[in-house]
Amino acid sequence: MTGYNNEDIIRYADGEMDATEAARFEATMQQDPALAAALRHYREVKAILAQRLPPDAQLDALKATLKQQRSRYFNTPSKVVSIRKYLIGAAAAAAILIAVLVIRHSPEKDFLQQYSTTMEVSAERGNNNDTLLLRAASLFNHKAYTQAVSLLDSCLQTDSTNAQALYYRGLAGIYTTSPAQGIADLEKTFAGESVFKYDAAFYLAVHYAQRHQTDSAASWINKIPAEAAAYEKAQTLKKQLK
Amino acid sequence: MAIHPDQRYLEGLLKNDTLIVQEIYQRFSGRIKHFILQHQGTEDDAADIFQESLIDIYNQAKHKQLQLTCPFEPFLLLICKRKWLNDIKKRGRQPVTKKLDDVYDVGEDVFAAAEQTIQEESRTAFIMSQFERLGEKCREILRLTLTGEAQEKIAATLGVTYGYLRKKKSECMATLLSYVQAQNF
Repeated sequence: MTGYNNEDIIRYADGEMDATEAARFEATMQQDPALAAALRHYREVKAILAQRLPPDAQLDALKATLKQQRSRYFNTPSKVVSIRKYLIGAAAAAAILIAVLVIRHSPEKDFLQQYSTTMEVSAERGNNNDTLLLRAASLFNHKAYTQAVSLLDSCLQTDSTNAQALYYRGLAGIYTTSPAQGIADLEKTFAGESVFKYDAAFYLAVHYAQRHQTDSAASWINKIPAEAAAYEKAQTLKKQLK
Repeated sequence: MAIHPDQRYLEGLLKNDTLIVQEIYQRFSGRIKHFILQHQGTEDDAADIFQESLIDIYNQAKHKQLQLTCPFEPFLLLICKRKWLNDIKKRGRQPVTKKLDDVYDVGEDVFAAAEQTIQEESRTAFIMSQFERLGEKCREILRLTLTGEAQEKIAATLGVTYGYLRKKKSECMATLLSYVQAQNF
């Protein structure tokens, strides 16, 4: 960079050179690619600082939302540790409680009831399938499983790749009196790669546990890896099978 | 090229739309978790990479007016994967030989959009890291002078003359520029 330093480059870029000096600078730049490159670097650095230095309230708000969702969808180590600690305590307390209940009541367990869950839907505005999903969720959450199944049927007719509809149709299905379609849906969900994969395996286990088909239940539990969200409850169910 | 309907995810990130962010996690986090766990990472790594990638996309949408002409899912997942493979490299672990598009048959448009986001955001991160190397006074001066506020007012706030502020700002920028040039990123 013949004869010019970074401060000269900055003075040129910021329009602080007089016309003669600026013309000389431009003439040199024509001959000196390193000077031209340095000018590009300066403009880039300045533009990036101007974008990223001012506080961004929107970004801060987004980061808070991301943090919230992160704890819902990922088991981070600190969370796992605290949950495990809690579970050990809770398991001890539950063991005592179960012992008391076993003595007092019939040992018949209602796994479907124990592990009943709610259907969560995040609406994607406007589209007809989303409306159907929301209505299905409402029915599902009021335990109107047969009606939920029929709405989810309609969803899947429009969009057969909707993993959420398939999983919940399966889940609702095993709560009805004719669970065959539900089992098929959950098996199909498990065979896929959606986020519902291991939850599907878990509810297949619950279904078989309910029917006292302990081997089938155990085999579905064993398909759930330790890192899956359903792992802890699957292990609890496994203990209950014994 | 036509804007893809999945542009709504970018709009959701820009507006911090909780439902959209939740949908992004619900629909896409499982896959990336699976990928990172299969490639020497932990669930915590996966959560970090997922979060950082969404912030990169936000920044590209906000500052570079990124508009999606391809579907969001492969675009996001490719960014996550690239970020993770870069992290592995930085940690000095065995390079991963598995192809990036093993899960997705990524189209050229997806690849180009993801590549641009990754390049620009890592360049920005590099420049910001060089900025952090400056002394406290320099950082304060640059922060204030780049907000668009009148320079005379800033000089008054800092209790210095306008001439001194200009000179100091130029010195600080020159130092920063020399840091950036020396690293040859």
